[in-house]
Amino acid sequence: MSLLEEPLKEVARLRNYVNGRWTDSTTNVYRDVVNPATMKLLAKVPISGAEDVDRCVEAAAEAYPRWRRTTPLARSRYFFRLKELLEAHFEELSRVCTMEHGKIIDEGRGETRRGIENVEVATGIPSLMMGYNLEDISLGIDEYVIKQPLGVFACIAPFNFPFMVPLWFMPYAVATGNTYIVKPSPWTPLSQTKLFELIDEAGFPPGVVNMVHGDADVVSALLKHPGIKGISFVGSTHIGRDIVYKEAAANGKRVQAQCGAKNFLVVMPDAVIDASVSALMSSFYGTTGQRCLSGANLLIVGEDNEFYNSFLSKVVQAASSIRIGYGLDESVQMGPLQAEVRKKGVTSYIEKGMQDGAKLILDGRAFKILGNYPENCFLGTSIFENVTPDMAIAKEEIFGPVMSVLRVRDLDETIEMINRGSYGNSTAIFTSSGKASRKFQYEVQCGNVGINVGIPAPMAFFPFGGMKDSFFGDLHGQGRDAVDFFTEKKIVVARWF
Amino acid sequence: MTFHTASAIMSLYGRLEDQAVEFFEALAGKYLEHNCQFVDLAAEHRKEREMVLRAYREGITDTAEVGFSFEGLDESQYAIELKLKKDRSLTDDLRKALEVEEKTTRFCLDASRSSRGLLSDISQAFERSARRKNDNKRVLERLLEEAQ
Repeated sequence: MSLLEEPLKEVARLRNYVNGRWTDSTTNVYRDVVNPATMKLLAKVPISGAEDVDRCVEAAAEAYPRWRRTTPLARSRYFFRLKELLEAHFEELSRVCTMEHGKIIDEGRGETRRGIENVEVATGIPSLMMGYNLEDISLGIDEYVIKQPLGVFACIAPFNFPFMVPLWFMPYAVATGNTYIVKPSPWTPLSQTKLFELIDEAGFPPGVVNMVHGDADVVSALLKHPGIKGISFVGSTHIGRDIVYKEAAANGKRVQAQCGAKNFLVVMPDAVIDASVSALMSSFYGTTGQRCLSGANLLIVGEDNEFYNSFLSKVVQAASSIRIGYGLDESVQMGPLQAEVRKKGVTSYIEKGMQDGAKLILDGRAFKILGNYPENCFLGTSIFENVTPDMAIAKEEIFGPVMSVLRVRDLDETIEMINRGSYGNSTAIFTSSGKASRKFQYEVQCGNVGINVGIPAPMAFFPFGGMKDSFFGDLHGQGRDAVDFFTEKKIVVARWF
Repeated sequence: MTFHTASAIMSLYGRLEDQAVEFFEALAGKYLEHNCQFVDLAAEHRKEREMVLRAYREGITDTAEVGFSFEGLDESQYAIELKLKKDRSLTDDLRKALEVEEKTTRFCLDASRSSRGLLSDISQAFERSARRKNDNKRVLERLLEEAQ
């Protein structure tokens, strides 16, 4: 099958977007951005420093008073304009995402759609931002709540959803009257660069939305900067909990840190087999296992050996026939990992699993690529059997196309095992029983629960959940949680003489 | 070739509709007395194409099993030789046109069935497109009756 056309033709030297202008970073240090499927150089991204962050914060702070006074209706109209531009560039954005990340084009489009969905929800800010009131709390006295913006916010984005994740936050922050700074991942900075080209075209006033490329120094500067009121972070638990949450909170900022995961997918003996297998493939191997909602551990419930063997053989059969290649080839079902270093990390877990005594029944290290592409970042699908909960492959986040299969006696043992884990991002149950699924959703300690859905990704008008080591903070991204995160409630008690 | 991903199925569908548009436009040029009907049929295929592809673009999410959502549709099952021949009569061309509608209808129904439950908007859009192609068939059957 022929490849879809690549929208990126030339190697770009990226710039920051500050105060409504494309601005060279103060740094001389640039890092290569590489297409993980072809290993071709796509761009050079500046690894900016604290001075660049200062410029962004200064611009955002200067823009804030006027933007805050812009009516919510007028603010929302900027997002209507942006939405139109995003629709017009839908395909280009999706392909850029595939080129820099490696995910297949369907996944790139799915990501673009979810990002746009957040912009759509934010256009409803005149309704979403409303407060509430009560007359006559005492004789002739009324009380009301108003929601007000706070100032400058920033987002530290991950590599795995380079277009969508900043849109879990930015539209809500800006539509509620704050000003904003986005720091994309230096591994995948091109989707945000494209988005900012459209933000520029939509005509947002200078300083309202800014972007600074970089790595740890920029993160550190954002966390410490006194001019920033709050931080939204998506990434690993180590960085989210030990650095972002602690440091930002210590500097008096609001924080929402959405972190790592080790998700259990549960198959009950009464599951609808074929539909469940298809959902499992997408969950474990979609986006090459590089999403915080990806399945990691497959729990097959019950002591019926026949069911276990037949179900597992279908899973192995489906996993082994997944077509691997460049995501712009439409026949491909799984792309490469985003970088060589990530492949190295995943293969080291495969080796560790074998050393720990798990049985590797499908070895992803042996794979076939559709088309003539360098193997650097590619890895096939792996499945481990005879995994026990104490093994590293069952406990730690692998972030790759590896499934660990565990057997459990019954639903009680299943829930207990899931709740014993340190993460609580996502889980799913496959069953035909309403009773079992209700018990599961009631008792399981995870922020996103799927019932016969392998990737329970919340729509933009719902918060993106997460518990335990998967989330630090109180209010989540997306929807009404995001509106609350980016606003302060002021309570007024009024009497007129 | 067998396709499994949503993207590949949508591209195949787009190609089938494009071919149909081209075919009906050619018929409109060849039979000026039926120009209006063939131009309308070409426009109808263009509209259906846009409707289904839009349902895909607007309905696709990072949740759905997009890479695994179709059971596998074989392109060769829907291939038609569409080159318009000068010496072919109106009756023959109308029969060919009916074949075009039948093949694209079958594709739509197969695609709808194989995506049901996973991408419901897309499945519905395919069904709707198949229904509209049945209307197209009635127009062509009427023309064929008149021509015979």
